[in-house]
Amino acid sequence: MKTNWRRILAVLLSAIMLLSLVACGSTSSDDSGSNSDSSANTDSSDVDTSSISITVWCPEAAVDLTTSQLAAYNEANGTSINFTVEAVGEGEAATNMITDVTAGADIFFFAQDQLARLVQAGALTQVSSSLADTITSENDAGAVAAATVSGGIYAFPLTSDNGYFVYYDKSVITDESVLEDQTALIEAVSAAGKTIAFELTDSGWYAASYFFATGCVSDWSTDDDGTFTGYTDTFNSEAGIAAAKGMAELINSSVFVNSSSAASFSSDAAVVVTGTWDYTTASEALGDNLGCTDLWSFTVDGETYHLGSYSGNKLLGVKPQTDATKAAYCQSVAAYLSGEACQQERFDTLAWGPSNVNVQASDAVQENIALAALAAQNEYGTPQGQYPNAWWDTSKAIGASIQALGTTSPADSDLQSILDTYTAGIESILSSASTACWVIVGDMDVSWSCTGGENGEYVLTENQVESDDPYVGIWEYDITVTGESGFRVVMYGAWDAGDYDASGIGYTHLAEGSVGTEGGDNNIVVDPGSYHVTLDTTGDAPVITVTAN
Amino acid sequence: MKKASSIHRNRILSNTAIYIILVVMSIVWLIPFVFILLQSFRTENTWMVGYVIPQQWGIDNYINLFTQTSFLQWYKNTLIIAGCNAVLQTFMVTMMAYALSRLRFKGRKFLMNAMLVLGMFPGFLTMIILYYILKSMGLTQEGAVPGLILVNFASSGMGYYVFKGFLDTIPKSLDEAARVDGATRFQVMRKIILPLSKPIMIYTILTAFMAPWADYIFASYIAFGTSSGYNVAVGLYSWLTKDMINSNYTLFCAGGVCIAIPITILFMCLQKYYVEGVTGGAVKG
Repeated sequence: MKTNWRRILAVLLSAIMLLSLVACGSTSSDDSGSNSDSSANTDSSDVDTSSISITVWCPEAAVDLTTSQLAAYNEANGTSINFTVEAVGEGEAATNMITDVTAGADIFFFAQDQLARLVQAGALTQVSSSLADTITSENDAGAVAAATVSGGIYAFPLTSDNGYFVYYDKSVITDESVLEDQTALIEAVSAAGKTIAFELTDSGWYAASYFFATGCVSDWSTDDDGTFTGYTDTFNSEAGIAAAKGMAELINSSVFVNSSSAASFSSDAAVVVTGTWDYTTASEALGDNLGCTDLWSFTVDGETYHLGSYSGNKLLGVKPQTDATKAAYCQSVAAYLSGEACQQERFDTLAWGPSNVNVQASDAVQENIALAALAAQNEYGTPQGQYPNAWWDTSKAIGASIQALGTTSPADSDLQSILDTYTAGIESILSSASTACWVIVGDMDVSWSCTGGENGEYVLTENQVESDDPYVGIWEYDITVTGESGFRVVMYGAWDAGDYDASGIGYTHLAEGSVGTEGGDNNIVVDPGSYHVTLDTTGDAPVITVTAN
Repeated sequence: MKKASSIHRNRILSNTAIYIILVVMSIVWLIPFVFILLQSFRTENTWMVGYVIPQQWGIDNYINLFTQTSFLQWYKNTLIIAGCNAVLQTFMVTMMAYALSRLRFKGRKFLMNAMLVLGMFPGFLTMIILYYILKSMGLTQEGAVPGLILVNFASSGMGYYVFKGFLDTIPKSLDEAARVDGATRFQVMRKIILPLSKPIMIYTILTAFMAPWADYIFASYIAFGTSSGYNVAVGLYSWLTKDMINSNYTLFCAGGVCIAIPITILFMCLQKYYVEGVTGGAVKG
């Protein structure tokens, strides 16, 4: 009995020791891996590609195809690089890369809205100039713009299909003309006892479509490091009110369902607004009854607006490498994966809409009804630029607030207060990171009729340009002067600092001849109206140019 | 006679009311489980639908789950972690609890207080630094499974409270009697204390086994995009992206049911001890 117990204890203890050995085992294999990396670095002239290991992260659906494409790369180039393909979704890939760049994949698929974050985190290498030229010539302009951060290309475009359009059930929508007009569509769908699925109340990505329709913009700018420095946002305007009214007509109608999944066809949706990724589901659900088209128009106060959308891209990123040989191969592999042949294969097997202009022109792509609808919608599309993550949270609240009003024809004042909340939200996005900014203010001292602001001054600019070097640059503003005369350009130490007097972090007036010094007199007298103001502080003296709009 | 019958009637009334409430509550609790179970047997399509009862029944989801996806690998990973956790953690906790309950040594009070304070910091605080330590040991990504076992084991000693509470309820005189009869400390623990603390050991084993099945945050951090290092929670969550959910929703439900199986079996077998363990430890803390 006694010996028996000892035996059990011995087994248990040795099991624990074994476990720690397992741990050591992984460590040593990891070490040998990095050793071989460094040896490849030292004799880079002797190209032994079998010592190069490249990890690729791609969405699960694309794993098999990517694996075979990488095998084809080895074969075509006579290399024997060890590729590891892991299934990591596009959103997760960016988050993981930012968390620990060194442990992340060498090449990874991601959605373009993550680009600024990734550049900021140092998770992307700038594409070499020769490859950048190829990218520019082979892909559509929107895709190239999507891969660009302050003038440099940081990623390889893979697709131009990250947008949304209308899927509809032909058996319900028999008269296709109703798809042109929101009011007619709601009536037709309502008469059939079906619903319209459009994710407006918890997604800024979809909700923006109404604002783009009426000509509103929300553009955010970044510096070379990918840090957000300013914005131009006109959601809170006359046009924005019109957009909100159009949204209210649908959201508060009886047919509205907040969803962007083609699975809604299995419930009772007749119309679903979603993207190409849902094509398989939609065609399985509806079969021959599936129709695709661009979004509809809505009419507010006699004006008709066609719904806009975001057009976006999937990109392929390469992370910075310490080993020059490996870095070169990573770029080459990424160029291959994003090239014409691979994009064609991806369209054939996964129905991903290509960004390569030659593949776009091929018959098969032209005949695909989903991509045709997307192309039609892209006529009204806005290329999706870079947004701070907080913007999505701020903008998605608009739809939910409109739903809370509970009426299809809400009062202007209610909508105005929703948009005011939105404006307050986006102002606070930059305030935490701000350093300094130029703003244009109206001055009560020179007889302004407007109120608000500190020290009798009222802020006129909608984009407060903020950067690490606030003194030098060229900035353009569109302003509306409602007072009787003039405005002045001042510099705030921090936007929304709460105290704008000259003794605090404060502001300084723009003095003639010396940028940013205190106490300068910078009044510019104009009649009420809208003006385009250019502020150029790159020369010896700041130059302010004012033209009437 | 009349009074007695009215008491009887009142009792029937109140019992009926109570049972109605209980039935309603149990239905509310059971709905999610029944829903997932039914969805996992639905084969007419693979996405979310607006009805509960499947139109076509079948076990295709389960077949696909184990043949077409990496679920088996994730399942094995989790089972290994849970198994090791159950053995190692119970071993550690038993030793800790016995030492702190029965032995008197310098710094005992300080040690217990220190662990109490340490236990008040949420585990997430150490997540980043643990990640880098494990990474330097090669225990992330492909090595995520031993990494997670190590982390769970290393921190398990602090979960001794309930066990110690239980041991404190066993009279010291038993120990003393055994010692007088010539037993060593070890013999006292093995022959007297452990047989008496069966319920609390079962409780410790169960909680240690169940925890890894629900571990998402730490597991996803350690696995870091390497599918072979995922546990079930991380793996299944990776199916919830906008382009995956419609093709994998019913598989997701089937995966959920599969996770419930080992835990349920273990629970059924050890249930009677479980209740004793929880209450036994709570009597004297």
